[in-house]
Amino acid sequence: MNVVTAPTVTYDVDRIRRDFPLLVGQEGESPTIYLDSAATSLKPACVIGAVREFYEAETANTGRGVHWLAENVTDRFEAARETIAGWINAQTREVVFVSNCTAAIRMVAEGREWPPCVLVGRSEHHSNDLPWRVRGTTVAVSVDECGAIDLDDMQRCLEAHRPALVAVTMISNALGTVQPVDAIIELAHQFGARVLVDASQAVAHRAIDVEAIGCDFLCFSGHKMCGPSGVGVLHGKENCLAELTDAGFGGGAVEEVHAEGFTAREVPWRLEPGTPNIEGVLGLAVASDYLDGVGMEAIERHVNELAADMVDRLSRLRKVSVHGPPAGQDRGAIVSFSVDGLESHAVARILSQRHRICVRSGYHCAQPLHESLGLPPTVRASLALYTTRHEVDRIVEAVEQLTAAL
Amino acid sequence: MYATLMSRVGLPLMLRPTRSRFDRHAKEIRARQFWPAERRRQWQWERLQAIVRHAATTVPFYRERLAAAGLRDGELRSWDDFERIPPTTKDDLEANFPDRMLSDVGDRSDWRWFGTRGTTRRTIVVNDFLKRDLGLAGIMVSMTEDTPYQYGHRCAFIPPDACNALCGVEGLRETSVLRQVGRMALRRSWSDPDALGDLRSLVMNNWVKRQTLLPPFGAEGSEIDDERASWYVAQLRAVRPRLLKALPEYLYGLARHVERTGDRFPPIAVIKPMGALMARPIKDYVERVLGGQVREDYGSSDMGPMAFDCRQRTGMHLFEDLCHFEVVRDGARVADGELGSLLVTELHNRAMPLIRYQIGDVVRVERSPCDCGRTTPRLFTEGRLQNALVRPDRSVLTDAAIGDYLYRQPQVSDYQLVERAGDRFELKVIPRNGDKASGLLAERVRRFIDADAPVRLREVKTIAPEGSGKFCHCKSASYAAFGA
Repeated sequence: MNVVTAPTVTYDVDRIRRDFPLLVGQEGESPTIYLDSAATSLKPACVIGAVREFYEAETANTGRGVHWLAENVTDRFEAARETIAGWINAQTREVVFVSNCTAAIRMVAEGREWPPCVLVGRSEHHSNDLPWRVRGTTVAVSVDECGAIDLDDMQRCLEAHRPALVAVTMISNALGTVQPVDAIIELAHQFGARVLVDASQAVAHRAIDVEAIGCDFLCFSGHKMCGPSGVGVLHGKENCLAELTDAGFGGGAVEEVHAEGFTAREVPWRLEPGTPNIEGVLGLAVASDYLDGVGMEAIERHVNELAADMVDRLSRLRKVSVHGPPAGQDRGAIVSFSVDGLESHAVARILSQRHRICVRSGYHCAQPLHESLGLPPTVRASLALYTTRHEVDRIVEAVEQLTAAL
Repeated sequence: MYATLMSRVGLPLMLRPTRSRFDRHAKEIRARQFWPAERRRQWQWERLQAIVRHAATTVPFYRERLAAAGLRDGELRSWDDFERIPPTTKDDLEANFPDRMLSDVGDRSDWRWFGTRGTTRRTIVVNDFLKRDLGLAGIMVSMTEDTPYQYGHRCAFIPPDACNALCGVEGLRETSVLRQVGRMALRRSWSDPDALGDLRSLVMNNWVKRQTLLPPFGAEGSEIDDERASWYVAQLRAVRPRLLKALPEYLYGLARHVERTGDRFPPIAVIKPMGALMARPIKDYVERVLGGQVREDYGSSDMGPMAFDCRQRTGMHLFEDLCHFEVVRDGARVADGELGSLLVTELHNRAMPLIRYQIGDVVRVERSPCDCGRTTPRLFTEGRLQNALVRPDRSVLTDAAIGDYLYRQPQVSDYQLVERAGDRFELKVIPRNGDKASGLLAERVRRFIDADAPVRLREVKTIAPEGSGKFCHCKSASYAAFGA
């Protein structure tokens, strides 16, 4: 029997790296090894060019003037919304531009009166925990030893508390754990709860299809997906966005204002008061196009292979403990580990000073998760589409060398 | 009574089952302070030769560095040979740690890693047992020599914020001796060297030094309100320490509070600034208001204790039997009493030798005899190198000189001088007694620092601490021209 398979497209990481100015000309004796993409990703030349182009040749405000520059930028701004909507398979009017993922979550938290109980995962980044905590009762769903949400506990919490909303991350920023988002949403919807998904750590490595996911809200930051800083996206089903009546308002968010009243614009524009980060939005659209061009499936496959390899090799080192899902299990582009006897900051500093390897250390804004699992502050190596196998080799060798000295 | 018993009976008894002999080392260190200088120099030279030979043959970084300096085997034949070795900088340390900075030989299970809380950098050093034991001895001498405080008396510490932050190496987890014993029993970790080390530190801190640790002032900076200051004073009244050691700014803040409110400060015999330079006018003020005698010592997390002052208080006597000290500028040794950058060579640490280590302080060293009879040279610290202003004619205004001038100005309660590009200066001032700082002050300061452009004066409510938790009173943009 003849089996026809799709032709294998080679993932050309060297070609990709040439798109990133920070990585170009790194063939020296000790090049910088950037393994902190979960904190912020590097930016390709096309994104940098889009931002520069706006400043150099296109500066104008959006949605206001009628001169040619203003009209041009308004068109491009709305085209960017269209691009982002297409990228996550959303309706255009379901995309709100915000300053970052935290701002998106706060917009949902503060945009309407939520009944007293909101369910959050124990694995959440502080920014998907504190905005809910400060507004009333939150209940944290427990996680297993790998940081994955315990669905049985979630069911118990849903039955006991009947929350209005469940807020979960798609991939843990601290451990790389991929949460069972489909099951969480299905379960939450059975109990009539809305679901907000924080996709910050997924958006640069996995195709996002909000239609297929079925969430009510989804948010992410631009700077983690090769886009500029200071821009992010809140996606919400149109009726869900419309319910955020306490959010927004201001210049550009209203149709007309009289002494005795005003008429608000519809969503998403009502939720984008004031001059937005225009260059950031334009750069974000270029970033999504760029990632799309490389291919999200190819990126996912690439980072998964490298992460699995790193987990496997670090796990074998003396005095090193790798946290999160074990080798062979699905995980994001994040590998967290600790070295016995050394604080995470010390490891990170030594990797930086001795080997020019950039990693993050600490609690990664997820202290409750660390505490609930009894974990110390950890070292986090995070990968991206431009990470190479050689860079994985270098960090493994560097950690091995460090532990040999202990 | 407790102190006498602890010093004479308790401590020797506690040390007997251990390898530690730091009480004996302390006695020897005390004795060597009175040796004829030539005898001590010979003693030091032999150890210096040995440590350089050890570094040249077992430490990859020094193997290369010494070979490049023409000392392939590390055999020193003269002091000139030694001075040919380029200084070791913090950059060297960071770029080569750990694998190229550690010795190839020795029992690694006996080594301990220490994270420093440096003002600008946080480095890590690795010490062997002898270095640690001698470090304890040096601390004992620094704290108890020539002062009314002895081990067994109570003492209180108010360290900077950074001491409570992550500083590199995992440290003590328990705060009580008994809890640590319980923890070790529970985990059956009686032979775990880290757990034993933690236990020993707890015994030293809680039973021998009887140390109470108070929290740092925090991010609000040099000025704390009277309510919080009263809390510290109340704690000190409750503890009644004989020695108080704190960041200079904390001591100054407490003194201003006491003077302002008349809060009853407990009698504390010895007050020690820690972690930074204390300007002369502030020393005088703290002594006058808080009542104790300000006594100083000098050390760093990477090198350990290095000097202490005697009751004459005319500089700090160097521990020449622990380290070798040089004061240099433009690569050459300076004359006695001249300003220079301090280079330190640790004489005993075989795990991670540091040779001619540039510690980053600007100092003077006097070798004239001290009235106390000790024959060791005396150290005068002038502040961090990076806080020194180097003027276009290469004259230097150190932290000490600037503090001495500014704290004597009647309008200045506290200050921070910032040098910006283009020889521009900004002076942040907390006015004394709520007065307004006038343009006259700015002009006086401009003349003092010999600046061309007017000094921009800005009144502030507090001086914020740096990332290290310490305070910087002069942010220099010109210090690199010092020629360390």
